Amino acid sequence: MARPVKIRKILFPRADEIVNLRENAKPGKPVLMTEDEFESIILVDYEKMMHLQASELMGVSRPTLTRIYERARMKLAEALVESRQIKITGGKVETGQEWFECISCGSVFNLPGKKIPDSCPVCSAQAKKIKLIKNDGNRSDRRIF
Amino acid sequence: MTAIGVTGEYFEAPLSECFGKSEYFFVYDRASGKYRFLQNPRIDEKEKSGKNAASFLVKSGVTTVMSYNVGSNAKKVFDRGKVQIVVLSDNFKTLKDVLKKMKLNLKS
Ligand SMILES: [Zn+2]
Repeated sequence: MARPVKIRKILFPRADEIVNLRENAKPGKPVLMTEDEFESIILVDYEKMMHLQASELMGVSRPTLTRIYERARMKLAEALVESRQIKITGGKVETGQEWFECISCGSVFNLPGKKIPDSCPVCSAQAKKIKLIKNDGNRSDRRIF
Repeated sequence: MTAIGVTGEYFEAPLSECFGKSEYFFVYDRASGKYRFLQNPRIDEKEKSGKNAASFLVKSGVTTVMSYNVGSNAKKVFDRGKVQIVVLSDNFKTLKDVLKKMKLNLKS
């Protein structure tokens, strides 16, 4: 029987974001990187965390984190060497929290201890101007990582 | 109280790229209408500046933070402290832009 995959925590979903490491990356046949693999790169390489610390943040064991991270590195290398795009998609992940976007001013926010937003914390737009972001990670410019 | 990460101690100051690396935090208390600029005490630390800045703000009683980017270490502290995180759109360039949207008319 297959072992159930433990859900890994990530902070913000990318949802099918395409990454071009190289300008001449060929479209089509992208390297598929899961959300948790990408998160491991952020934590270990970008934020320079120890594997143990990163594993705690993602809610997995240290060896599991190392495996996720090694797969991610292999995929990065593939994309780099073979001039392929990376598509960040899938993986058993949870964001831990719900995020909302105000379509009036573009702010994205969470709601600790509350379920439904009554208004935008920046521009005070009403609830009908606020949408729940579930798997909408199209915010590669500004994000919580 | 709301904290906004900024690069300077003035209303026209550009917003800082990353919350933990903000030179200053503009802290505003809606209840009293009072505000002040707090210097980020941990800015010089290469590592964990975000985490330390976040702890400092949580201890100062901040309940909402606003920035373009919030790192995962800072986010962890804010989550524990039940602090709301607002990721600002880059339509906002300066502190003044945000305050205007918040309809705050503060005098310097
Ligand atoms: Zn808004």
